[in-house]
Amino acid sequence: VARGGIFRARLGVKKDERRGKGFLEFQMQKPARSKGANDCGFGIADCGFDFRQTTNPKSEIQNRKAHLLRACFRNKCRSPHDSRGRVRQQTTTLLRAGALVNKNRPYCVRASAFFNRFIFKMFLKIFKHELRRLWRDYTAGIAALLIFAAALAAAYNGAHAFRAQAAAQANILAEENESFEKMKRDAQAIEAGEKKAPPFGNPLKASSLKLFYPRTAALPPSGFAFASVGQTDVYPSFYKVSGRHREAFVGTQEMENPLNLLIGRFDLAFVVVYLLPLFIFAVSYNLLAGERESGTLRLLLAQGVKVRSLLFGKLAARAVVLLAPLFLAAVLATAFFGGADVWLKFALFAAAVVLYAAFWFGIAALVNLYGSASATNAAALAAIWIALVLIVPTLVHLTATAARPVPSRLELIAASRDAQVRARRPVELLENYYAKHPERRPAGKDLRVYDFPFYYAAIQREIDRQIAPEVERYDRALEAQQDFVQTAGVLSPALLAQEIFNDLAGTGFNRYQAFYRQTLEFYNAHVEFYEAKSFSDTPLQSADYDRMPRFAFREETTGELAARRLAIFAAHDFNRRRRFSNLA
Amino acid sequence: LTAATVLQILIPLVIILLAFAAFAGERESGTLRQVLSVGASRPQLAVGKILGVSLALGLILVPAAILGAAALSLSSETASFAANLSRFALLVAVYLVYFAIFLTVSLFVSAVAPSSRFALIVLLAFWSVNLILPRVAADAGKAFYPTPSALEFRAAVARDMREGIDGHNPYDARGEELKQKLLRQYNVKTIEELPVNFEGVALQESEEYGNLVYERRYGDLWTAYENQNRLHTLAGIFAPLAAVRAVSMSLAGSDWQHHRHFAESAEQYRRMLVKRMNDEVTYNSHSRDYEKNVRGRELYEQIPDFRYQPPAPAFAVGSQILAFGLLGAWLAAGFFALGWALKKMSVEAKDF
Repeated sequence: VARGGIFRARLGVKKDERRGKGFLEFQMQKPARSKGANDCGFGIADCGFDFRQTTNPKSEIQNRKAHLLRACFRNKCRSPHDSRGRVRQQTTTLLRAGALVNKNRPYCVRASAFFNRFIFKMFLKIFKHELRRLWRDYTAGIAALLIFAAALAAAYNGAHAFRAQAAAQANILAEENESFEKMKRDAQAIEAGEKKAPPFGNPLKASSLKLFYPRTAALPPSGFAFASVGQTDVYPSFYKVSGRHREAFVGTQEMENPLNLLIGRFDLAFVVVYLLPLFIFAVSYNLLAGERESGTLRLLLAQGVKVRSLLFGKLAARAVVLLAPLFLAAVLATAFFGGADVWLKFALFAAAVVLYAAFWFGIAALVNLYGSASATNAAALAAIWIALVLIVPTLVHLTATAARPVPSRLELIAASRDAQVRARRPVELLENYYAKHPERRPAGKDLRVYDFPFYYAAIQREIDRQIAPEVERYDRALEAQQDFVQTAGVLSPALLAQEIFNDLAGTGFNRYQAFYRQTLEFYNAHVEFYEAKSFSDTPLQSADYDRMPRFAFREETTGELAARRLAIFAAHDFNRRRRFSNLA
Repeated sequence: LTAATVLQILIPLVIILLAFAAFAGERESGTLRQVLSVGASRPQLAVGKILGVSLALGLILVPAAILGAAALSLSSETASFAANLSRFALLVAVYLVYFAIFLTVSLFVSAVAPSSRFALIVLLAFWSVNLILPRVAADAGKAFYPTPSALEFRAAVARDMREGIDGHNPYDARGEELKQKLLRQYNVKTIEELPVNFEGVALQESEEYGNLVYERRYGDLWTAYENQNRLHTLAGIFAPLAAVRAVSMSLAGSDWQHHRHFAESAEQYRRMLVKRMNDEVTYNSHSRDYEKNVRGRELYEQIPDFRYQPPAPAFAVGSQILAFGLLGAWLAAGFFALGWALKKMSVEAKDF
């Protein structure tokens, strides 16, 4: 008998033929003073030796048993009961016993509570029974069917939205391409002398082309877009870039029914972020409370089942019931609606869903362990859901708008109007331009003679120059606000999950901002190309048509995306640097 | 997190949590039998439960309503105060109806549910349907009444301008037609001989054609929006939240109909302004004198400022008849169901 309490360890032997290893089974019995049925514990220590290598297994086992016992008692093993006679956490005691043996013996005794074979078997048993039970009372069937249908409908809905968008984009780009090709053919015809150059909109004159030839920069929906509609309704997926000043396209906005914006969309992200927790709560609000209320919990625990294996077995059964149909629907949707290279994104999506679900299962388990009635549990879970899914995200957005305000678009428009008024001195502007680019100055051109394309272009560039700081200030402010939201996202798993889904679907702020930045680059290239030709008054050639800048969105790779997401958890500054380096 | 979120989403949840055990809980603890055996009638019991929950809610809501009325009287001008006050009173009434719906439904479920746990789960499911269904309705609306993206919309407007509405009357042909018409009208041979400035006439003509195009395109778009909104309101058949949201936004003057009202009066003002400017060019100058006599500041000073006259409260009510009807139907159904359940309610708890 160890000091300070009663400790009896009955050591049995279990054979496992497959692994050929021995096990020593502990049983700790309750002291006479303690009350309660579950005050006894089981444990198994893996002795780590191989029966097949010993000539006399039986004596070998006896030998080890004696070692273990001696080790336990000699090393002043603490009583498994505290001073009031309650059992200490059995696992702690077992681990300690295992460690003691480990220290004193050449062979290894492992008594890990979690991967313990006995506990694992019990876990499996509970898991199987739970599945059967859920199936019998139709809960599993109904929940699985509902979540499968919701996920599939949501994915279809998302895919539908983006199919329409992609079709509209393709239409408009094709139309634009057609008119471009026509202009190129005209240019060739004029060069060949088959056609006369028109006085207005001459396809061989860069100065007229630049003005009248706007190009569309379009952001194609990503292959995984169906998973989350995200900010698609808010940010434009195209810009019409022309020779006009920047503000003319920067201010582009998407059109949407404001009520739809208020309510939000029914997409896969909504099913996961909003509905999955509700489903989880619906099936697990009475995990332990239900058993306690019907009196079965006491019986179960009296048989030596650990609360831990009971809880994990039940949770695992429910996780399978909810996540299997969800993933089935998601796999089907990805196979049908997904674009190229979509499976890596799907894997990241699945990982995020599992983590998100694990969080809510954890909350459900925690609430259950508090030991309230199941009705109280349900109310508490509903309150937690409201706080984390509805209230915290709204508060984060409100704080973001207060702490990192973005100047009004109207200010930007007003600034560009002012700039327009100030810029009406084309002769001076052109003089300045040629002072900087003397090689482009056309010989014998009198700048004071009114020449609309020249004057217009000069004025547009001056407006650009004047509003550049305003535009930059606006963009920086917007990015700072989004950074704030992303950092504060850690306050709510719902916000975090939504951000991740948006990123994977390519419908979040990051991709739209990258698109915007790339459009600005394209705009600069576009303007530079025509400016070089038109201000020097060199005629275009039909071959120049193939050299004209075209816009193609450079996609972030999935690896970069994952790294950026992970970086959000690292230093904030690192995240910021990384994002801008990606965009540049 | 607006007042609307609290009133539309959180308060119903509070009502559910206050009321789910009203009958089911008493039945489980056996007090229901006792209460009924001392002579309280079932309707009396129900009225008592309703009063109890209402009192608990009133502790929060009455001060909030008084604060709202005070804020209203401080913020609005005297001219619009009466209209605003009647809107506010209607809003209060609508929310009372909304809460009454949740209260009667909760008591109904509590009366018929086999256990309080079951009642709570059913009520929480009902509550979450109110959050989910409007989204489904919004997406169904987008599917049934598709709207163009901004890109398509712009392209369509540009096409109409260039090629004429329905592609019948292209831009160049319109200009030529106008020229011939004017020459005939004034019986002259060239536009320089016209007594009016051709530029001004052409500007106004193109403006009016543009108005036609925009009226048509925006008309289509706005009709689609209104159809989508109606579908959302119809979701109120199953989710009272959708109906109360429509009514509440309308009474607050922040819904689509009010926006449209504002946009249309602003457009009327713009048209008046543009026409005055174009007429000035047309009648005060000639095609050859480069708008020499056109007035500047003097003309602008004659133009009245834009003053928006917000619509009367009757407009808000009139545009949301459907939603009002749905709320009324829900209330009636709630009371009817509660009355029915009270008669059927068992006193003995069943093992469940």
